[in-house]
Amino acid sequence: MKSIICLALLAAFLAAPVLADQPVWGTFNGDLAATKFADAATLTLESVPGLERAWEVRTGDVSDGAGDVPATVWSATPIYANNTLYLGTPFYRILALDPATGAERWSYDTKSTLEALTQPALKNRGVAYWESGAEGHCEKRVLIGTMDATLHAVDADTGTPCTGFGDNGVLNVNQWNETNAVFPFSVLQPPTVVGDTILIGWAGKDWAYTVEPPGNLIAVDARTGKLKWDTGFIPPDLIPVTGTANIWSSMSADPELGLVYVPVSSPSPNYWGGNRTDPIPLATSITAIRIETGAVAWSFQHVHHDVWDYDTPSAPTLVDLTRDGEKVPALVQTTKQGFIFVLDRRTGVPLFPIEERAVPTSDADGEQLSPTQPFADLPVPTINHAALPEVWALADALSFGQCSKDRETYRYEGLYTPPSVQGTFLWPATAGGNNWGGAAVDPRSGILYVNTSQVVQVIRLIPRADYQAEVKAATADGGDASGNEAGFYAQQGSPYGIELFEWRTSLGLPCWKPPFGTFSAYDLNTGERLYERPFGLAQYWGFYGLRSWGSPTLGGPVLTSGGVILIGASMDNRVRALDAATGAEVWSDLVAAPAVSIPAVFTHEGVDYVVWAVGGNSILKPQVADQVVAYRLGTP
Amino acid sequence: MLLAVSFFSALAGVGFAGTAALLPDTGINGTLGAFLAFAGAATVTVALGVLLVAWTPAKPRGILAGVAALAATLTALAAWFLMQNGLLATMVVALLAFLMSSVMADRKISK
Repeated sequence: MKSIICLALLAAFLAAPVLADQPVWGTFNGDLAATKFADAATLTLESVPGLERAWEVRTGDVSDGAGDVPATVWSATPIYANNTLYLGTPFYRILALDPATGAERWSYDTKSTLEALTQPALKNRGVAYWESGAEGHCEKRVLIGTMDATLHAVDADTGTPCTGFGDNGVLNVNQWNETNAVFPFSVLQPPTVVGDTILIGWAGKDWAYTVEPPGNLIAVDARTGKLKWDTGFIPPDLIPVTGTANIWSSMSADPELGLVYVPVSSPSPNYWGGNRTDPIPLATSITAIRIETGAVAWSFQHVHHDVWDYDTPSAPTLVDLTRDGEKVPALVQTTKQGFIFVLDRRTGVPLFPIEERAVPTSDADGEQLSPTQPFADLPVPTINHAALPEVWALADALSFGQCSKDRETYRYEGLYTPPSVQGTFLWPATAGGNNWGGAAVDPRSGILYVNTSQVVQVIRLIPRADYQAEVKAATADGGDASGNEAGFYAQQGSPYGIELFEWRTSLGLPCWKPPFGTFSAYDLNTGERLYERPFGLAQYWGFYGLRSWGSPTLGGPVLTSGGVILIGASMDNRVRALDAATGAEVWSDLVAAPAVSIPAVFTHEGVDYVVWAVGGNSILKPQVADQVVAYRLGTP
Repeated sequence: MLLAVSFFSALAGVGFAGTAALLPDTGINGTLGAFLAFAGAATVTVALGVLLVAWTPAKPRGILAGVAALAATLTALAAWFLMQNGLLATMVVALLAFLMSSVMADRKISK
């Protein structure tokens, strides 16, 4: 008996250091299930008001776009692994930091070109991490992608290139860009690592072309970078006339089922589909792919014939739910259009009813919309599609009725009202609703937490014959020649260019009634919305809005086991802790710009940390930063 | 005395507004609202300074008093929407002290 107790104590002692360093934050969403759930036991409702800055680092990798270097957008989630904090920067460098002090252990510069080759800004969402389980150089690796279509692998301990990967540590991802190569495959979202397989998606240039590279998922060997398989999402016979349906966001995976779940985007061009009237079943879908072979296991298309750019924006969240007394492995997908789709992740079968409903028709040349689209009433959508938000009386009065006039001018007949020459309200806006930040879920209870932007845009199709003249007129006083700064996009090769803008007064006030952003919780077992409340503060010209107005958001939440939500995302330069049970704010701190990222929450040497990359995003407001800020509980 | 309190409070407000507008990471640095608040606080300070140290005939004095009161009110309102509590407090103190000094001056005249 004594020896058993001694053995148990020894086992506990040996296990202690491992437990002390749990949990890690090893992927963009914390784990492969994309739960964004952190078992950081000390971060409770009672303790988080005592969060203090542990350290702050400025990377120096920032640009406001005023000089030769394009503006930066930084939405990296730091990775905590190998007792080190790893970050990617928008200048495509890797920083390895001491998690306790922020001191730099090493850095690696990809020397990537600092040109906005695809996206309008230099953009980075972080790095990925792989380890073999063995000891030695490059048995632990950090991976970073670049705008110019390369993937770099470096040793996690030293930052030196892993020469056996690709060409001396650099994999040319563009070698698989063989068709309609009008832009490079920009690897801005860190790849997903499952076992010894690296799964690579890429970003392209939105709204510019009709015929673009066909979207695909590229699987390579983590040691060598050699291609394992490549699965495309555009039917081969349609590749000459369309493209994209790419994966620009993060993915989730269930290694036990051998499946990776990929959020597939819309086909090209984004706002007119007369060139692609045949079905593209995998576009704008959640698709399950077998990790071993690349075969499609199942797919659920949540927008048919997408002409709204309602890309699947985030990694599906994997959680086990209870249905009829049984545990069901589920997948939860938040979407730009505000639906929360809950599927059986083994088969793709919906766990709540999804109904095909008739939607408005289009009068655009050559357009053949789908007569129906899938609607899910449960869980309750994050966006109220029943009607466009009311005109905001304050904005209407200050604009002498401009908002009311707009309401009469532009078309809106409910969700999926198509783009039109007269102008169509895009509600929710093309950035959502819900975007790449996705949701957090409590795997113990099946409660989902998500931030939502409540933004209205106007999309206008401009006949090709008029497009250049309109761009010229709009940019005569000094915009760029493309017209992009003024909201014009060419969709070259289609009969229409577009103009896309937020529905605002000439002074910049939103024309729609607040809130502009909300935070909500859902019981995924029943589909019930537990609460919805305004989140964050809107800001314009420096002036903050009222709390009841909320703020549009970019970035996502993290839930701790102590019932605390940690989230940046709002446009008011604040990072916050919320009571998960009510959504009420319990702590906040002012940072250098909007923290448009998902924080990393982890335990290092027995201390829980929350780390945000603070970089800003012009979608919220034109402010950029290069701040990494870490918080931990103060000494009692 | 009260006018001096009002002036120095407004001057402190210029400091708060300038700091918020020009220093990094204040949440409003570099924004139009911050510079408007700075201009408002500066206007109050200049108007009160003239009233404090320079002899002025009654009519211009009334105009200056009106400008100071209006600018202080608008700057306080701006400070509230900019979440600048220091600026808000200094503008409120400046306004109250100025109004009290005006009332007391009127009483003295009416005696």
